[in-house]
Amino acid sequence: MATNPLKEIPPPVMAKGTVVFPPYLHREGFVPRKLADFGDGGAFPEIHIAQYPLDMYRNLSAARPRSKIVSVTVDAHANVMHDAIARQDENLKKIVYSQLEDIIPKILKGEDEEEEEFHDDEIEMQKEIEQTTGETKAALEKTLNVKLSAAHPKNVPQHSSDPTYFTYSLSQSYEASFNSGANERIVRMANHPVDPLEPPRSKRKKFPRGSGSPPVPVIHSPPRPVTVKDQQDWQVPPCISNWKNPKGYTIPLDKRMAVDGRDLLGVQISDNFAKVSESLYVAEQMAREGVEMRSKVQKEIMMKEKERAGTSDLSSEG
Amino acid sequence: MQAVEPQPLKRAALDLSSSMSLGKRTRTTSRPRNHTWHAPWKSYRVISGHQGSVRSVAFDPGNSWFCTGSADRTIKIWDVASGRLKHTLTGHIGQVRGLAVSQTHTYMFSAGDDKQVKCWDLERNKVIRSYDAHLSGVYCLALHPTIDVLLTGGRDSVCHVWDVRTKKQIFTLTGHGDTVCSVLARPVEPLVVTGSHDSTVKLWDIRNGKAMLTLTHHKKSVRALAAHPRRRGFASASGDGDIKKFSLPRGEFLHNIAREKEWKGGIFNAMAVNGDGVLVAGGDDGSLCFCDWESGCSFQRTRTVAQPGSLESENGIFAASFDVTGSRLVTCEADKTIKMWKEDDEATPETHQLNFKPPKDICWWQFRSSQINHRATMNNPIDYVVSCA
Repeated sequence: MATNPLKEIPPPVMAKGTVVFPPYLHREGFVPRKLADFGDGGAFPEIHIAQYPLDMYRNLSAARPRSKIVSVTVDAHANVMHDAIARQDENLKKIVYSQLEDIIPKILKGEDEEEEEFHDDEIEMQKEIEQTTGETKAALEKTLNVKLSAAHPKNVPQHSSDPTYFTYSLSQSYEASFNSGANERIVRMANHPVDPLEPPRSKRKKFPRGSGSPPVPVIHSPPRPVTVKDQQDWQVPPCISNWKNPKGYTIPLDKRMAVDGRDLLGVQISDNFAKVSESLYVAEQMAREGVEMRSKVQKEIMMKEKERAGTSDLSSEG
Repeated sequence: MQAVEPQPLKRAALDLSSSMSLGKRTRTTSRPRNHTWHAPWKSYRVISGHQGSVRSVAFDPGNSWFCTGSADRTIKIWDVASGRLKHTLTGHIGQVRGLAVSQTHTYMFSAGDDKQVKCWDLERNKVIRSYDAHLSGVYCLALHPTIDVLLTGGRDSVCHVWDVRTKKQIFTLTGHGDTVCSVLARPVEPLVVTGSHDSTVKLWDIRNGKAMLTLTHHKKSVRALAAHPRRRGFASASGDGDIKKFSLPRGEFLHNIAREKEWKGGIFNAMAVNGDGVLVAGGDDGSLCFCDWESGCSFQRTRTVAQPGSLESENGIFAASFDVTGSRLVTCEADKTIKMWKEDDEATPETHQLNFKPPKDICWWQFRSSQINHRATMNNPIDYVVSCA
């Protein structure tokens, strides 16, 4: 370290007993730890530790419980604790993940060792389970008992239906028209009879409850890269409606038809066309066969007649 | 078993030393995650009988039967060995979204879209208790393994903690901003874990009824939670296709599961973990992803086949559960069937080789869990440096 030229200036001579800390420029190595080290002054800016002269602001949030100021604190490696805001109020007692370690993939050493110590681990686990079970059961039963006793109260005040009477005396005396000139009134109070079998008159609604704790830092891995194909798959062309045109755009007819969705439906030819042509073909075949057979039969008949005519001629001649 | 050779890992492109909060840190050599070989799973039985999509499943602790709740408002009890229907229970007037069978009593609990949570006595097949406090549909149900306490979460963004015997709510766990769609009950602290449509997972301290910790790692709703039966950890699956693994009891994020480069991810509706470390995640499009718990790498991706006669969109898995032994998997699907899966016996590490490559773009760190100290407060700042011994 280069010699500090200002150090060559000798320290000022001071009367004894006035100052407790070394003078300016000669405070190397001096660390004010107690209140008395500050004398009657304030913090030393050149000494890089947290200082609380007069014990001021040592516990900011406790001094002013409703203050929204969170002091900037620093951890042991002089890194500013940026997640102090996330660790306020209720989150002080909870585990809050806000660091890089909480998102990077890792293997915990304890996990590997589990394989070897499996047997002992089981017995330990059993003990742990039993202990946890016992404690939790006790805690839950306590809560449950409170609820049950609330549902079955022991001292229910009995509402008797006997009427009670009391007098109501007027402070001022009124004219004869009001209260017939009397100074007092007798009031009869009785419990209205309740039908024990009547269902409740008002509907008891169950309301959803709100959340309790303050928000927690959101730890998301960086967004996954989108491939070109994915992006193209998700491209949605603008809609050109056949019915609505609120801004009155003039769009050529071919563009209107292109976005119609005609090509999405696909050409669907009915099966019946094939059936019709097949049945026509079959019918034609059958008709042809019929005609052929008829002509054949006709020919045979003709032939027979010819033969008969021929033979009869011959026989008549002979 | 074929030894998987660890791939030499490249140093990360991410410059962590520039991060302010890390302070002084020593980097250790990264080590690839352990990976055990698992046989691929195949479907060996399809059970149809429900008239609506099957929404929930629960196994009997004796592993002889399992019950399924469906959108047709019935609960059906099936035999595990033969797949035959044993009973049908009616009583709900809405879809049966959550089921649980008690380990200690002969009770079964069911929760539905009709705000009703019912306790069924299985000896008489009747409803004996009804728990009434939810303002809208109840989406998830869990029974605590050691304490006689029932946890239900629903669309009113609240999780109720019920005393089974007296039907009274002990606590109401408020804090979620949206529907609570998954709940986990554990024997050790934290006893209750809930996942919600507001994309957060909360760990609760039910002695006071307050949230201990909120995990905001997911970007979309956390639809499924699954705890490893033996290890201290749980996984959460969400609609953005991420399955994240966390360690308990402090809820530290460990790593993503099954996030290979080429895979875009889908919406995961259901998740279950085996004693052997097989994690199965069932998707909304019918895809099933089988992963190894410890390394987080998926060894099988299949798709269920919807039964003939169903629409293309009816390919989806709503619930999945392993049986008590962990050797059989039951998936409840949107095409109204229940499929049972088991490991392929003939597969060997030679026939079904697995190229396990830990992701290269992330640097792996070794931490000792107790050294990550998150109890720093404003008045008592403690350093966040983790010394890697």
